[in-house]
Amino acid sequence: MKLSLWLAVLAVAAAAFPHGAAAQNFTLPSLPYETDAFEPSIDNMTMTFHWTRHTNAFVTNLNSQVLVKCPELNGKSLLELVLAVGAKCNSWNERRGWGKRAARDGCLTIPTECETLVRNNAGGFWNHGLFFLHNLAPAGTQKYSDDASEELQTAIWEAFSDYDTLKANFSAAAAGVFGSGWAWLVTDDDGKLSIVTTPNQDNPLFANAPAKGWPILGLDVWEHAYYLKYYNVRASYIAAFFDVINWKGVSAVYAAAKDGSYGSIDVLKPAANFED
Amino acid sequence: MLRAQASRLARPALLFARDMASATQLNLPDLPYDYGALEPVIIGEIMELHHKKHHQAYVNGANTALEQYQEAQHKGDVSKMIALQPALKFNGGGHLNHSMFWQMLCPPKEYEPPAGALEQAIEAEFGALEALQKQFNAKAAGVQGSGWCWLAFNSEVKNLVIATTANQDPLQPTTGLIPVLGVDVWEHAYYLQYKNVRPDYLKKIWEVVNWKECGRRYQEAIGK
Repeated sequence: MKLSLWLAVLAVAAAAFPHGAAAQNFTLPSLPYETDAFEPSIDNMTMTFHWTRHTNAFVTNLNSQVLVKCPELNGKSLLELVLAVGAKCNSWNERRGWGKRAARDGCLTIPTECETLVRNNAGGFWNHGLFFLHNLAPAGTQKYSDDASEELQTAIWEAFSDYDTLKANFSAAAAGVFGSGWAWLVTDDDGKLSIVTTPNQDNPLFANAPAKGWPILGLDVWEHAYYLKYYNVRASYIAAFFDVINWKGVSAVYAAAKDGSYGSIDVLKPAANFED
Repeated sequence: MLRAQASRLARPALLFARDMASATQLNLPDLPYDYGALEPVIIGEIMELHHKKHHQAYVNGANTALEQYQEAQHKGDVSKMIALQPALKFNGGGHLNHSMFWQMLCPPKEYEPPAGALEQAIEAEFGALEALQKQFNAKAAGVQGSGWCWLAFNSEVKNLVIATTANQDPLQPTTGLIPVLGVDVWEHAYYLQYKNVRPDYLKKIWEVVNWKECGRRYQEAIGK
């Protein structure tokens, strides 16, 4: 292409992005498995719609609304945005930083006009990234006893005494969410596990989360996550979810959280076990 | 003597029965039309699930919460009474909301536009029905997660407003606004038919709004 044409293109791009940098748009990753591989737990249509319609809507909103209304957020990672929700940054925070946790260094202020947009869309994209790319594995491919790491199994034993109790407690929490939300298995900095729930697209990483923790496993209990197959019977969906958990992926996230490198997990990149 | 003994035993039993009988018992109201009557706007499958499963679950949940509340009340267990309030608001609210909703809808062939005082109020507040629908749908589409969108009467400033509530929060008890029209935007209200495209559901639902019922509610609200 002619140099003059290239310059014109660059000039248009520069005009479109007043801060001189092109918007570093988010993109919807490809799923590392077939969408019909989760029967009978999750049906093909739900897997497809949930990723290509619901999750994609967060991507669209982030790019067309958040990054346009608040261009200073360009280049921030999804995790940075999520950690910043509800953060009250002041010079004390900035001086103190967040200590040993690389993911929390510094303090990002989200402009007021983008607060709700970031909460819903960065939260939503992050949540679904963890869920689809690190927490789900096709039916029949993994078992808790074989595929959850020894480290994770020990932590579960310590917190819940056994897998069945974890399952019962997690299921009760997920069933008890009023309206739309998520149930999470989270760990603290020392590897201690607990179960928390959040409404809508909130998650325990938010700076203002009432119950904080590093999420390692999440379950979407918005109706769109199960309605096509389970109708109103959320409990059946929750029970079936346990048959399609990616324990290898969950173990990897747990290990990163426990050794202080939760920020090294890119929720938008499929779990390493899919590289085999 | 046996009779005297029997009546001594009967009295506390009767009092107990009287107390328990006075516990509020909510019931699932019937729909004023068949499940398929709102087609093609809302398919029969949705109406049946929505009524028989979802609304019924709120009725059951509310009755359980009310029973437990009364028990706690008898014991003077204030802590427990307070702990039950979210379940009461959620399930009781769900029952109130849906009971109204079924009445606020009608088969498409029975549709009539707003009339009388309500029509005038809509024109005064929004200019025209289309303008109301546009504003209403924008707010309804914007409800994050589960909730409702309402056309309501604000009795303090005496005008119509559009308001949204989260989950099953009932409008009047939580805001004081008086419901004239409510639209359920929980995904269960439309997902089987409209999938994730809530705006399409919102466009179509106006074809089954029972403006007579809404008008009646409005009349009652302004009369207060």
